[in-house]
Amino acid sequence: MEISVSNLLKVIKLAAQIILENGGETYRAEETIKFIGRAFDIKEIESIATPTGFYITVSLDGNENNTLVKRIRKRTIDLHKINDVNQVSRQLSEHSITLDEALEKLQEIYKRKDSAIKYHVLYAGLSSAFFALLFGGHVLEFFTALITGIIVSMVSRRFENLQSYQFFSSIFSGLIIACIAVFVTFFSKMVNYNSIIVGCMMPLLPGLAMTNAIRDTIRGDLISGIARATEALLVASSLAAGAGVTIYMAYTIGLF
Amino acid sequence: MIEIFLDLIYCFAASLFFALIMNAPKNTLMHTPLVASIGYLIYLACSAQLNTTLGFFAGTTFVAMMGEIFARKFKMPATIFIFPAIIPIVPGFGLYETMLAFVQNDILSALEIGADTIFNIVAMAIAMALVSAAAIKMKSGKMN
Repeated sequence: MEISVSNLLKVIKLAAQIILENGGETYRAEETIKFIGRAFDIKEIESIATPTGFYITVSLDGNENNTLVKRIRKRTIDLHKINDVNQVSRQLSEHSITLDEALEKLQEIYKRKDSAIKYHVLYAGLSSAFFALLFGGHVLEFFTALITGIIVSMVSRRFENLQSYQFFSSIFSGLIIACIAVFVTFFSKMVNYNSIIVGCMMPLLPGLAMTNAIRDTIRGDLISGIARATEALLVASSLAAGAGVTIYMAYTIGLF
Repeated sequence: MIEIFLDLIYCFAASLFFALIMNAPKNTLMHTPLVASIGYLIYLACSAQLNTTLGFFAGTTFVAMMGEIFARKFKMPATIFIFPAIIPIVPGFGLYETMLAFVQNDILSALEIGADTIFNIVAMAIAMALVSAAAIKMKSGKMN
């Protein structure tokens, strides 16, 4: 079967890009690249994927090399897209779709905007609220965390197109969470601000990034391990800084 | 007893909504929170009976194992199941307490809680690495 290198590279690039931009692991991107390459009997295919970009070299006959570099700037989490890319690479390896069809499908996945995104604000609030209950909250904490989670989700969406999105959204989220929790505690005198703050922080914490960082390092993917660890540290420490400053001020003023 | 039961329900709801934020595929939305609650129960039981770090290890092992099993069953990446299910076990409270101790100028207990939290995160990572290594050994050349 005759395949064009440019189409193959486009498919591989888009697949890896979607995986890395939507929170997939780097080894998953590398494996998908290798998997698609093997399905088309490519002589040589080699890739290095890191959270901030990837490099691919493809050689159809072993003589001429085609290399591609792609920088990843935006990183969000969308498990549905990762699953769809996985489906496409599976279909490609079974040869149930052609390269052109795969390219079309991947472009569709890449461009897709989630229609239910307006509900995400509500889901974020509810998730925070139930975490507040899990960490020892009661009815008042539940509703405070619900409203705080909704506000935080709406505010951090404003920062989405910013260059240093993660830093600003985390630090402002921490600030807002702690402010609301401290004020509600001060005025009602009967809520526990700890459970509100922890409950609202739980969905924002880089839990998987932290564990993935160590796991990548154990696997020997040192660069992506360090990159993930830095990302997790940045998010966690800016969240803590935002909340910490507010609580520190509350102590200094003598609110409680 | 009733408190533990309520905790499990809260855990179920919290990870369900978390999975919804992360846009998890619709047909996984019942399995993931269930795994999350059982994993949380294992974590609670082990940390009450044995030791907290062991609790994190055991809970994560269960969640990661179920993630790999469901990944085979649904033919989806294991992350889709592991990511929302692991969130309740992540030591968020430990991180928060570390920060709180720093803010209160209590450096000694901040370092103590901080070191403990890092140990717990490392325990979680080792559990996940072990399970994924075992899963790679077992699968017969197929990618999930």
